[in-house]
Amino acid sequence: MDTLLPFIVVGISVGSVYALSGVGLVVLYRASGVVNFAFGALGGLSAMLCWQVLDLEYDDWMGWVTGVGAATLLSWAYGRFIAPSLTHQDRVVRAMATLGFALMIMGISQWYWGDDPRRLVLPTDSGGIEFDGRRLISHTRVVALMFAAGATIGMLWLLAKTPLGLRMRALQSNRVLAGLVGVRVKRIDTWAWTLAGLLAGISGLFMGNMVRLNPIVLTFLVIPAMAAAMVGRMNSLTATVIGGLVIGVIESMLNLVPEVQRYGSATAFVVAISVVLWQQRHGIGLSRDNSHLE
Amino acid sequence: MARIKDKPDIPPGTPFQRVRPMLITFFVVALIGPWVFSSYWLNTFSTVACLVLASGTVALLYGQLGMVSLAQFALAGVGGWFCLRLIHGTGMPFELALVLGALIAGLFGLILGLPALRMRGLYLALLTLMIAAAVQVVFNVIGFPDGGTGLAGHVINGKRMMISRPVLAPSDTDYFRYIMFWLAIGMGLIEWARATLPGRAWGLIRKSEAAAIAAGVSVVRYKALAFAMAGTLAGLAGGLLAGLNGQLDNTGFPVSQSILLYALTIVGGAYHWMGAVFAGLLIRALPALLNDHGVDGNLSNAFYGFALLVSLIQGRKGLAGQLADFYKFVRISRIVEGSIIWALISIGLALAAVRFEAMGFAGALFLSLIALLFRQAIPGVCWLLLGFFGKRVQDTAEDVEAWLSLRLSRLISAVGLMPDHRILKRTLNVLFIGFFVGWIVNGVFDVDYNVALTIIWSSIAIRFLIQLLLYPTILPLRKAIDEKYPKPFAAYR
Repeated sequence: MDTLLPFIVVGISVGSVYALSGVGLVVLYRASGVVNFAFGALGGLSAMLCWQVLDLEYDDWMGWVTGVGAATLLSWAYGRFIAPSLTHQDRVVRAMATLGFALMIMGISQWYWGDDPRRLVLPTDSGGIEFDGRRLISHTRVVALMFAAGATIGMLWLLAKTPLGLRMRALQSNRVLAGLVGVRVKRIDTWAWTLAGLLAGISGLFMGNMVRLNPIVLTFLVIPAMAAAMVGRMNSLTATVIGGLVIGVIESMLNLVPEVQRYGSATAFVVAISVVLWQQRHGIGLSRDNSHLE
Repeated sequence: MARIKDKPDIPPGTPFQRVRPMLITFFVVALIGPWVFSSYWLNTFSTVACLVLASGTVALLYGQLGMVSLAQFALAGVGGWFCLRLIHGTGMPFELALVLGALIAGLFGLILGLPALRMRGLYLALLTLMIAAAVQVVFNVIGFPDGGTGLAGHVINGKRMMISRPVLAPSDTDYFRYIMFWLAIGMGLIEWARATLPGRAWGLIRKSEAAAIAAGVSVVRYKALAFAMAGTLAGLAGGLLAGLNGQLDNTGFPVSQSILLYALTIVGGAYHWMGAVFAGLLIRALPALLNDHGVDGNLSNAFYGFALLVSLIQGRKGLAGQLADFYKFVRISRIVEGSIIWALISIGLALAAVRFEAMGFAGALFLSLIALLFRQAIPGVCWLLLGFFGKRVQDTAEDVEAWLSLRLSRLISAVGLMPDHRILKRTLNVLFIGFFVGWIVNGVFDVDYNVALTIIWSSIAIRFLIQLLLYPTILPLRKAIDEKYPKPFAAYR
């Protein structure tokens, strides 16, 4: 057990970032039925802006606020101005439209910041959890885990207990009927987009700290996050978090097996594919997926 | 599902009549391409041709069945991998390896399509995305075969071996034509299938699977056929890419390219073969052009994102669909008249260019034709592009243009010259064509900027003069043709 423990701890810390992103994806999908491909791009923008502010030697908190604020604002703007013109469209089309949004953000940030090597340093990086006298994970990862747990609990509470959550769930079951009983569909949608943007901004900071700080890399980190969300059928927040953590742990444990070690980064996708195929055999489809009725 | 507007147009005619315009276009490009492109651009266009085929497979699945496969470029990688492996392993001829690699990729595509028999829409898109991402990791680890030992055949340390070009096409020029030949076969197969029984079955399945079953269409068989075809042709594209450089790069088939291929197929238009051509040009030729002129290629990504967003919001049939709509309304007489005048002008100018040793015959011919085409098409294209933003923007732009032109023409008549109520549009158009086409041509074809400008502007000027002076002669001819063929072009296809 002692040999496995470090790998589990590292795995959980990596998985928590996937889980945090997955929660952001699921919340938006539940409320508005949009799979948000722009999640990674918004996170990437947040991380790059934060780096830029820190590079200009402003205070740390200003960097975080700028990054997260910009991601939230852009996501709000998309939800407020662009998403409404697509609501009558198929869900595939709505998902692909966010891909367009993602490409725009990615292209502009890549053009502005380019490929230079950079590092996003957070103040929690300096300390860490030690094991056998060797530093295992930095405090940043612990904070990320706390954020993931906090976001999950917060969103579960929001959906279950608040008027906003009630309306979101109403949209989830049936948009047209929800509109008929007086739910302000557009406004609730916009709220969902804003929350998703907030989560994207926060998880972007952690991702930028964890991997290479590059807009393209960060944009396509949405794919492993999506894998975590697919484990939760884009519906269950708890299953998404568990999925994210399991993916992280398996990825980390693969380092013990030299033969497959190099395939480690495919873990998320393989897990997602297997889970989807298993679910399908048992007749469980994507939540809100009533395409078989069409 | 899709809105009524998105329905594919099925032009009348036998399958061969439907495939013919595409085959003729490819033949002409294959014929004159190598004369007019510089060697760098010839290689670029070879890549573009491979991407056109890959994009055609995306369009096949999306346009015919409404299924989103984000793994088509990864399948091209699979085809390329097996093609290389077979050649390095057995030394078989390129064509055989190409076809076998494509068939293996088709098998992968079929396996990929198995879940799709029960899955549709978003879930399928996400599943294929995961597969593309996993394939990318596998390629990153095992690499592409380059003469090494073992199952993967990848050289760890040492010189990478390349496969030689096929015997039929040793040089770059020949290989470009070779790719165009395979492209014609691949796209021809897709178009043929669309025009015959499978196309109708796909259309019915897309509309409603229940209706298809009730009508006796085997849903399983036709969905499997579509995925196998898409996989095979994507694999073919991958094999051709492998032959182009003799090897493939480990990072050459990232998931981002698969996504971009899908996005640009939508922008180009998934319901018409021209859409795939536009997608291929956008994905490879536009960034190359921008790089050539020192503009950051990353901005093209931002532009693609914008174009994707706009084309999805408008729910139209992409660039190709808009172009096809445009030509629906053109009359036969105008086409006959235009082709005769264009041929005269461009051949004349090309002869003149050769006489004064400014540039080659084919190049000048091409340049002059492009200028005339742009002169004709740009106002319409601008109009259509504005249509992306909705009727209101289109109308406003029209109003602004009319208002400015009126003021301008009053000013001109006050000076004592003949006023022209479309002066603004015309001037802008001619200036734009001169500088824009000149800019492109300068980059792509290694032509002197001033020579290019001269040829472009003189083609437009001569055409204007012909119309001005010969109008009394042309008018009765035009009327005679109009009486015989009173309907627009599309009605006679």
